[in-house]
Amino acid sequence: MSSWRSDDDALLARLEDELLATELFATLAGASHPVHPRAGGLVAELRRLPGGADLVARGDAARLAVFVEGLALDALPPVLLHHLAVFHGNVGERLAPHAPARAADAWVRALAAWIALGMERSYLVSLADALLGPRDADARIPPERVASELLATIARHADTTARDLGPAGRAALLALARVDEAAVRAGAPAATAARLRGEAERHRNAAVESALAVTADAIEEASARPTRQTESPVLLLRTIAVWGWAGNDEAVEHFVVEQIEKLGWELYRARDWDRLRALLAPYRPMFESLGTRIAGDPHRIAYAAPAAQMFVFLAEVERSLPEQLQLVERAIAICPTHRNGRLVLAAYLCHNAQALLRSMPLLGGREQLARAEALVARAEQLDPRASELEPTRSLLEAVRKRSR
Amino acid sequence: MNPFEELDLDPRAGIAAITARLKELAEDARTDAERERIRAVWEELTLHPARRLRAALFAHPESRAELGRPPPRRREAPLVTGLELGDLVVLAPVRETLRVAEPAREGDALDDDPILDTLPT
Repeated sequence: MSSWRSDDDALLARLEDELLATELFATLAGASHPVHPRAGGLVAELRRLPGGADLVARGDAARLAVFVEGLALDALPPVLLHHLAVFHGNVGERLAPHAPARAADAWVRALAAWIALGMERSYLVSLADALLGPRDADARIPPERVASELLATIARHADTTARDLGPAGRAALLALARVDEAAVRAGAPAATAARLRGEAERHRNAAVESALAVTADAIEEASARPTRQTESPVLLLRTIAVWGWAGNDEAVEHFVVEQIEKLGWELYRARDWDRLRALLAPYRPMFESLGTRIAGDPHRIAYAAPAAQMFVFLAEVERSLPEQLQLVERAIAICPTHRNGRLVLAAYLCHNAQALLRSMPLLGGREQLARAEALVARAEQLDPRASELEPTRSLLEAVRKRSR
Repeated sequence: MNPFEELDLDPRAGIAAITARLKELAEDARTDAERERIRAVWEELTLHPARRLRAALFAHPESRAELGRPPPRRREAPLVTGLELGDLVVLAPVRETLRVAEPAREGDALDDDPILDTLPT
């Protein structure tokens, strides 16, 4: 009868690690999926961490998942960082087609692990030495560039789904927007974070541009047809889906504003308020978003005028004067020098002053008169050429005489 | 999927070891599609060092416990046949035992069988 040996213990532990790695993957990815037996090495490494051996011994994949997701990367051995980078990367790949937000979480963890491993350097240098030897120096990936490789892999999901706006692309764009978070987790210096952020932004911009190109091409084609005025607004509606897919990306807002400016002016000149109102309505959240961005960042001055024009359009199709005033005030707040906005606001102020003057009682009403005078003064300051100024001044003068 | 994990290759293996392992897999492949996939992986991993390095980086490293020594092989148990010593005795041919010069042939009548002559009537 043969006896149980230490080698048998080791083999059993190895097989249990492989099994637990598969269960851990299923817990994080939400579905069972075969993982390579070498992933068992991740569990073997987790055993060595404080508290890890107990968790592994319990074989509770759910608790181990919480433990893994909460690991601070700064003190982990490089081989464990390597396992975590690959493991979370694979979890992200698995989740991307059906759970974009969770896939992005996994990719951000993978990215953090790659950044931390790249900062450690020696492990990746030794690995490249072992794999390539002294030859093929050109084939080497510098340790600090390894995280960029993952960014490129993630970005491919965004590129390949830019036409149909698939969930894997949405996951990729979400992850690419969270590079700073990964850099903080890895404890990366500001320069590393800035470089990776720049790369991620380029990937994001390229993917969003591809997604918008589909709509731009369709509108361009439609512009040659006599039905363009009815066709183009319908084609533009796809940008709402692009905006959601791209995580409310600013580039989509710029594109929409540019397109609506072209379409809107035609309707504005034709005084076709109903169609202008219908054109603008679906994009109100985009205008609000862009307006907030510009108000909070003086560097975005180049986009201020077109964004302000959207609020002027909105004001023009609004039916109540207080709402109109509020919208055009927003336009002026976004772009204080917007000529059309200033002219329209001056006109609205005159309308408001006229309404106040006409509703004044025969006796008294000094406060109301003072408010009307202030409105006219502001209208004069905004745009002295406003055509409503002259009749408003006349009315103001008549009321003053009556009040004396 | 990562080619090292897809075909269970060692990420640290060199070109010669990868080629040898993929050759074995190609010989065992059942369909043209499988062989084509193996060929594509071979090209990916052996013709482009940068791609091999990248694929190796994105595969789990080997950090599991060593497999250790296998258990010792048991001595083979004796074959149980049920034979006894008597079964091994070489017996004389039946014809000699019956003391018959010629065996009966096909077509002979039963009454002509010389064996019957030896039996008591």
